[in-house]
Amino acid sequence: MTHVLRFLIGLTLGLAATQLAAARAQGAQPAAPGPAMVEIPGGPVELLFPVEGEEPVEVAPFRIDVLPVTNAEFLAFVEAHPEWARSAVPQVFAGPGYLAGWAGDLDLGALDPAAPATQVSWFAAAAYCEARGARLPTEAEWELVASAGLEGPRGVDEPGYRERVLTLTTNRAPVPGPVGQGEPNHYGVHDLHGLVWEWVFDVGSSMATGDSRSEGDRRLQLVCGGGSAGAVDKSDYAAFLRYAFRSGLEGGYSSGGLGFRCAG
Amino acid sequence: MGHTTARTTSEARAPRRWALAALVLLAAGLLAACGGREAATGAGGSAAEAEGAVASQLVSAPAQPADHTDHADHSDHADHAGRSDHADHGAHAHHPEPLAAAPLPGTSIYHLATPFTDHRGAPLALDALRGQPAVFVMFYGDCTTACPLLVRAAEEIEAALPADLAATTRFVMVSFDTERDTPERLGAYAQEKGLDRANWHWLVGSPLQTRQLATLLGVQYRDAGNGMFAHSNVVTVLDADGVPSARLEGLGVKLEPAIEAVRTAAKATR
Repeated sequence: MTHVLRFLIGLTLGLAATQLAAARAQGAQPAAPGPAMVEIPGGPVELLFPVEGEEPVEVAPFRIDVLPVTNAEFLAFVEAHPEWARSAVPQVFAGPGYLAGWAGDLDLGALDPAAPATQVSWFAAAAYCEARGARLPTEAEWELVASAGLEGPRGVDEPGYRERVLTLTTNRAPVPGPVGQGEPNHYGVHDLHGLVWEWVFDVGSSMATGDSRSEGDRRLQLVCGGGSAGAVDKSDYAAFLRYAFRSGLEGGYSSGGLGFRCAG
Repeated sequence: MGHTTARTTSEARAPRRWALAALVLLAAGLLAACGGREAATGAGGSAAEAEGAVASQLVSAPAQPADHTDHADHSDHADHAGRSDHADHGAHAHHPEPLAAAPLPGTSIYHLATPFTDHRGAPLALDALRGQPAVFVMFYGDCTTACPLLVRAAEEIEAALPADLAATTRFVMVSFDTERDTPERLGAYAQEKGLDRANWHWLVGSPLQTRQLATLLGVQYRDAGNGMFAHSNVVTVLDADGVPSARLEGLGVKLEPAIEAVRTAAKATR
């Protein structure tokens, strides 16, 4: 039994390594010493719910991880930064679900080392990226990368894009498999839709409105059907799911379906 | 709502189990959300439920002070302080120093260790504020509508306190605008408002620190371009250990709960 498990883990690790090598061969610039990142040219990003009177978010060029951070990588982080161990982290930075699937402070237990690190709070994810000299991507940056198709930077221009993303988003395995198995997008970035939700730097910020007196209106606009007329693209249901999911997040929250990657 | 849901489902053509579960949960959340803003938070959570999350985890956000934990922590402090006082210097049993040496409660915001910079250009670590209550507001200097009202709310809380308590309570104004609000600018802002006082701290930090603090205080904000920030309006009272004990959201709300929380926190330190 354990032999079979070892074999499977070895196989998945091997596959992940192959994918990683493929991503590098495609021109991805590996950042020393961290994992591979790619350059993303900046540009305007139209958030799903633009605020009236505000300009589209202009994103400056940045770099982003080709793959989500894995369990093995997060374990190495906790080993180097024991204050983020399950038994040591203050309650204010991580709720009771934090690393709940691990067998111990420094023991992944039955978790696949090559699977995305989940059950990680926003504070822990941000600390991980900071320790790497990086940061979490902003919501606008993440959406910019995720809006690319397989062929070009505008997925909506490709036939079947919406359907593919929605299928990936809603068909995730309850326990995510190894990273890097999904097809890379135009930028060479993997697993944006098919594995897990991902933390962004400006958690909760998409709901803040410019006019203090209409505070909360945007949140209602997002979640209430009648208000969805304000959305830029009403047919992008996967985007609705992402924005709705993110809007409910708080910094100490963690779950088995929520991971992260870093940007810089 | 029904229209959108039906259309996107048919677009997916092969509605699978997860999609259905997500839609059902989302729809349930939508119904709840449209009743009011508070319920809207739960609607976001419904997507979380769709991917197998436990809703109660969303509800039990660690920033919310958990009473039983607080009590346990406080009694720990009392024990610790008491023991060291007896052993070392019993005459100083009421002195705040032994309390400051005790570990921070798990729900304390002062776990945020990286120092901010104050309007005098000096570093200020939040845990240096331990020992007395504090009133936290997040704002930015170029904000002309909401922020002056938030700062005035803090002033009014101070004015409503007895003089000795007003003098020891810390008023901590933290800027969203990590680029423009330099310590010099914050100093000028404080002077202009007549609030360059010993117990007022006007702070600016790195983008990460600012986002961390906002997340801990439940303050939403977003750089809206043009030097403006969209933000929620929150006044938070922290007890002597940095644990939130009152939170006012919105403008023009009654300040009594905050004033009462400062009094309660001050009593607990004596």
